[in-house]
Amino acid sequence: MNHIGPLCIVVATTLTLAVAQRPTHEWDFSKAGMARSKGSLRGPGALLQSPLPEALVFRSREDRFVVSNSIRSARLPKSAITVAAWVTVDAPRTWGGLFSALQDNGAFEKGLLLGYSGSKFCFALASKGADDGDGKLTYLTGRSSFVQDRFQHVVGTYDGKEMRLYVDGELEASSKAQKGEILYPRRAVVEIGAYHDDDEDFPFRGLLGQVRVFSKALNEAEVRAQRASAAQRFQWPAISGAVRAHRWQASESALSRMSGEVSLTQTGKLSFDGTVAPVKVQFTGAEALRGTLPPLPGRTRSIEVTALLGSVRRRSLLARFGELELGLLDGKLRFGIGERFATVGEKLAPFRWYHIVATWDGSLLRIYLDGKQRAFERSDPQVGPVGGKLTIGDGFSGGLHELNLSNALLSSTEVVERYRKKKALFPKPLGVEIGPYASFLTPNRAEIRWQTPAQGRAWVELVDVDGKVQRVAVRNVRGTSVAQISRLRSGLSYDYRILLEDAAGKQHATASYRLDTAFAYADEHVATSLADAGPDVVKLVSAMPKGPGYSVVLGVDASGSSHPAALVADLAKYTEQQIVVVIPGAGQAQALRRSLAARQIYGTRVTVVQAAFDDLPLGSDLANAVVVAKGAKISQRECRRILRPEGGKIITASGEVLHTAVQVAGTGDWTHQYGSGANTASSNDGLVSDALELQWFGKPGPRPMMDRGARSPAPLYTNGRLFIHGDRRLFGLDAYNGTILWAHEIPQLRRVNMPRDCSNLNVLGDDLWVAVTDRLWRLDAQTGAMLDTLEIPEALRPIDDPAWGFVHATPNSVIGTATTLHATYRGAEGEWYDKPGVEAEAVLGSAMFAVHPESGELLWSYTGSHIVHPTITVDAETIYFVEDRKPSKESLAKGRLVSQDGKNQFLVAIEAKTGNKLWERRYDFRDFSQVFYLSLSTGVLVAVGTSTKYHAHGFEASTGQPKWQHSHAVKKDHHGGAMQHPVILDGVVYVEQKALDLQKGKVVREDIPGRRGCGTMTASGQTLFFRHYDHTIWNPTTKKLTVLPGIRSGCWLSLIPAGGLLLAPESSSGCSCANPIQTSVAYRPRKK
Amino acid sequence: MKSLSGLLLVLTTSSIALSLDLSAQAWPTYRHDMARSGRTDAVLAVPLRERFCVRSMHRPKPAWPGPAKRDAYSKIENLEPRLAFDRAFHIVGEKGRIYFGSSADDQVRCLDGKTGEVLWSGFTEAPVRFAPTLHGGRVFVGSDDGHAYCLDQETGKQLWRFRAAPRDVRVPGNGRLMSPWPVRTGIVVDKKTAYFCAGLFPSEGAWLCALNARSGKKQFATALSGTHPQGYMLASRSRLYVPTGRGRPAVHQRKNGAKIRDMSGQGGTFALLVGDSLIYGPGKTGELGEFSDSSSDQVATFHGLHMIVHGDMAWLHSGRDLSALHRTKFLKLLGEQRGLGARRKALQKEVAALRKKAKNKQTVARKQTRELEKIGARLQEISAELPRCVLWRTPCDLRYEMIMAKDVLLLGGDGEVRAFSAKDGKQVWEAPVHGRAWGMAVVDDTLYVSTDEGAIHGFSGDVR
Repeated sequence: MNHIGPLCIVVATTLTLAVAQRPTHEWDFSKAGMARSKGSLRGPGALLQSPLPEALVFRSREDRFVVSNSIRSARLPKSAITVAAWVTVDAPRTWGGLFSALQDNGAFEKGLLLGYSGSKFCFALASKGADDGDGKLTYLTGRSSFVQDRFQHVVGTYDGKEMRLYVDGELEASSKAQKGEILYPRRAVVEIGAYHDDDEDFPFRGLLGQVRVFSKALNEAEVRAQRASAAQRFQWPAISGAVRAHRWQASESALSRMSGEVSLTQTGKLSFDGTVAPVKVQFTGAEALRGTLPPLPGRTRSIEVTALLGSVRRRSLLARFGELELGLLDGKLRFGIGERFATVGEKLAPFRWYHIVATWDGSLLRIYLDGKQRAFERSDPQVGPVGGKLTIGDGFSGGLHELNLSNALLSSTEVVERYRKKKALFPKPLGVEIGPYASFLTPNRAEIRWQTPAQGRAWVELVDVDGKVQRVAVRNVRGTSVAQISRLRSGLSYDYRILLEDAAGKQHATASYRLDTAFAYADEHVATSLADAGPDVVKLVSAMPKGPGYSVVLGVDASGSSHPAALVADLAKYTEQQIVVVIPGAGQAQALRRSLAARQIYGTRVTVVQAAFDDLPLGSDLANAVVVAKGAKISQRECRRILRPEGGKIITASGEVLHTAVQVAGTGDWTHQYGSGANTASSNDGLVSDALELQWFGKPGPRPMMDRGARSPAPLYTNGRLFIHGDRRLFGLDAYNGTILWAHEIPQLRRVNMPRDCSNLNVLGDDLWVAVTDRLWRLDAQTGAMLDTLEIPEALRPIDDPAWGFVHATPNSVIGTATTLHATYRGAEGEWYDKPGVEAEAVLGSAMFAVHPESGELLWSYTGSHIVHPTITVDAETIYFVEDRKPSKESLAKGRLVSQDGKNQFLVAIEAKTGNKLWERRYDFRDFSQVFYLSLSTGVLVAVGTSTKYHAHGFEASTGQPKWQHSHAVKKDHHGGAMQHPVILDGVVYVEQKALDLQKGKVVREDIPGRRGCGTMTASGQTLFFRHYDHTIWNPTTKKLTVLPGIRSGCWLSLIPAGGLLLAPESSSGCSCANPIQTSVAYRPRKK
Repeated sequence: MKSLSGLLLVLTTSSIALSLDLSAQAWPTYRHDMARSGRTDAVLAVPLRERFCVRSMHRPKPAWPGPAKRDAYSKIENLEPRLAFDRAFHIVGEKGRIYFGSSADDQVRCLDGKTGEVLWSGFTEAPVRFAPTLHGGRVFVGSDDGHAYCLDQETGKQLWRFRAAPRDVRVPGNGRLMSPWPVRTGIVVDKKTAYFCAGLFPSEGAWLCALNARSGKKQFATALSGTHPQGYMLASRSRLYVPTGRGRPAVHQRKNGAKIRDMSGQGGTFALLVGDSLIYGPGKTGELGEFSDSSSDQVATFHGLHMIVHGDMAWLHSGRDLSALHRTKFLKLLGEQRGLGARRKALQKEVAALRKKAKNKQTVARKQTRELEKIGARLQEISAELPRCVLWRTPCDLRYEMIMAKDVLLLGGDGEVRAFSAKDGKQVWEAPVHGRAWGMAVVDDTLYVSTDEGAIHGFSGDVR
């Protein structure tokens, strides 16, 4: 009795409270309640009926319930209010409205809103007491994310002093920012199911069962009572009655093993393609399985399929059961009954297994793809229970492994659970050790290369956007598999995968990859073999530069040849160079043009410029070769002026090399992310200053590049070549004339968020080193040819997801770190990484090591701690970094520095040759939480980081002894200000808006010009470069600011002063701006 | 009955036009005229038949590759290309001849309009990316070599050439050696003057030039500040409109080249003039903005890639559909909406100010409140009327070009061209072409279609 008594009292009190509170307005979206609800329904939104709670379905943009077009006539409470709603939200969106009566237009903020932002509910209100002249709204946001597949009770209250937001009876947010009477706008539409004012119209998508408005602020007990009073009505139903399921699983023996009472009249062909561990039913589009099923009880259905899409067809069926149909239309998955279909927005990718669940609760059709709900639609209420004829796979090209049909209604939680279980069983793609990577040989022909340990007959399967499949044979070239794909259409993308049949006849397939001819940079022309050429031609062509570029021919008119076009035509035929002929005489120039046009090589291979030899109308430093015809009076000075440094040749027409250009004295390199291993962000290039002119411009443009906000690895430069990391592709360019020497499509190549990681690129001499997943590739810098690969030493290799992290090559060793792929940032979903928190966690290396560049032999290793990647700093003898010796569990799990405790972080120096520790110093780096950099210059290590302030600490590089500390307030946010990497130039450390003395840490100047935007600064020997709207230059000596308008750099480091040039590969991809040009460009010092 | 007689009248007029104007309908410049209207009064005898197809040895070499795949910040996928001015060899022509420049082999060619036979060709020293302009028996064309050329229309003989930049120099640009000051605006010729711009990067300088069309003598060369001229220039009686690639067009005085203003909007090189209103785009998302002569502010936005305006009507295509809009009514309603919006804002301020001072806040500003209510009601009516300005809409996924010949809309797509009745949007003809049809022109009785594969198709009807 003692127990029962209080319980009875509580129940009674709850009921009393619920009854006591009468709403001033009520909209009940049940069949009976709709008639009483004042207002009008717009759009095709319709009533949801049993077995789910009765509610309105808001599916399209037009769906909404308009209470009143006039806020005045809506007669909403003024002094206090409660707005309560029963709702289930489809998916997070930027904004959504459940009940809106507001204007939030810039500074004009009046009215109220019950809605959601992202995945959380919100309540906004403006009052007269907080009016700043044109109103001011306070937005409360709940703590918990809303959940799918059940109704939630959301309540906003305001009592004239305090706003509160309750979700399912729990207080989730409150504010006392508002006071006094509610400040409504004079004009606003009052709507249910939208956030709608003059400026915005965010529709709600999901189910709304009831909205009530009270003229008082309900207290917590009253809110709970309200919830309790309707909880039963909005209970998400459990499916009652017998659950019956039919299940088919493709099996090796035969379809006869399929369960269920289906009698099949036709069978699909069973086959193995190696992409599945179990057997799958292979459909080619012509087959289907058909039968008849006994009826399933109830009105709910779930269909679960694991399917692999082969080629795209106009219309294909996965399964049809009675009128219930799950299939694809133009590659898009859809599920429906009769005329109503829920459709997933994006096309399914070919050659990929998907876990698909489609559910129908008698009213709503839902599609889940790989565990996530991707589409829903209301079904025709007239459609009754379905059953009877079953068809599987009609018109479908691909594989079905399993199909489950049940009258149980799978919830989203159950779908996720099933996906997780089945994902582990999904066929494992064939592993590829190296690659694949593709290179275009011409605009319409590509070569795909890879290495895999598996043996057997291999081929490449390629499918175009129309679903046409092409099979391409593979040849083996010194252990590398090579497939040449021909007849590719310009401007189209293809999907491909590699298939391999082992000795036992079993087929295996890789994951699928994309090949897009929009990224074909090779010329149509391919140099002809010299086999049929005469000896003079062979001699000349042999002396010419290899690969593409520009060659200038002078004096051909004076060569005495009766066929002056012959020499030019031979150069055009046997080399890949663009030939530019300069001829002084107008008549001769015209005649030569006609002759070359007749050979169909004018313009595309050869251009004739009419000009005098002593004042060539050609830019400086651009020609890979100058060919001088015999007897011509040529200005040597002009020849050398136009010749490209670092290998440009002056050659006689008979093939004699007269001169080879060397590196220009005083130029700098950019071999690492921040210039050199010392991370000073300075090249010390002595030529590049603030007076610049155009050297070249052109490809690559924005399309092949990563979105600017991802903060991708910096371009590199040495030996006259520029290397650019694109979006899963890599470019090698002639830095002096912009010629794309080579380009590789590397699907696995992607690393971003450079402020929190180290680059995956390093160049040393003629070798470009690139970390791709767990390997380090060594590419020929001139041709892009794969020379070798190195592996993470076995003992240091992480078990799961290994990745090669840091890269630093020397002539005798290659230094790297081991990390994991999941620790590195990939940024494939448009991430920007300019916020503190999870985006700011530095990637950790689990070990550092050195291997021999040729043999891969382990030379030394450094283990036992976790190395903070963005701090790794190298000079000729020493490697410096910060390590965490006791990372938190979360840090270890993520492979990133989630937090620091101030006790286990050490600044360390090890010997580059041996890996032996030189010194270590425990240091409290807790203030270095948002960015964490280390740089080295003239014996001083500078650690830079940010928390709430910008911090710079100086250390003796020889001992680690602290020298100085400096901090100042961050004026700009993390988008570009607080993330700034330091530049060290001439003994001065340029940090965000201040310059410090390198040795003492004292502020030496504060006149650094303001920068707009997101990039970080770089420097030549005398000048700083950065993005301030456009490409911008600041000379700290003269204080002159120079803007190169109309073209902007990226959101991290993309302006590199090197080789006597300012190199600016396109890096503004995806820019919202209206900059007139997006292009890669190089500038040279302007002649006085 | 009205529509029937209208149709008969059109047919009669068509017959007359066909018989009288067969050799008189020129297409002398890109999109027909210096307003880039894309419309001719020439009548095509639909259905058309292919009379010839010329395929260039070398397909066009556009200066700029495609745009970024997406704008991640704004979450916009499949951005529209804003620099698609040289994807095909754009055709101009008159008197049975057609002319085009080549971005692949740097030449200007004259072809027999009936047979496709090459009658003459002339060289420049870099790619020719923009269609020539025909005027007074001459061919005017600009080149990436930094020169404007004037050729004899009959023979192709060079009559003069002019370089705006102070020096002649070639640097690697867009994959070729070219001038840092290319002529990438086409050449507008009106009466005795030829107008064009030279230059691309403001840091290198750019000029708006006016030359005596006969002699090539300079009338003025105004240095442009902060302008990147790129895209076909347009001209009204007093203004020159200079597209700036991905950026926003600039408006200049025709008499001296002085800049009047930069436009607002989302950028792009498609533009047309309707009277003194500039319509341009397609921005990132396939939208055309309309701007009046007096302001840089946008007065209307249309969802579309190309637009043609004739009389009160406008025709738009978006790559997904083709539609006809009563433009003048639409603009009038928008104007009224804008005016009422401004008035409402002013009234709201007035009311707020009055109420701030008043003791009894409910009794003040009654007059203003009544006006506000009337404004609200009218604004709702306008919202309902605006969609009714679209007279018809038909699905159509052709997206590369749209022009109009009399009452027929001609659209270019991937591997096909189609014709639609401008009156009701019904398709009246279609034909396959080689490649994507980025260029279309109607010269005399023939439709010329040029594609990204370097094909030029000539289609004409059977002469009855």
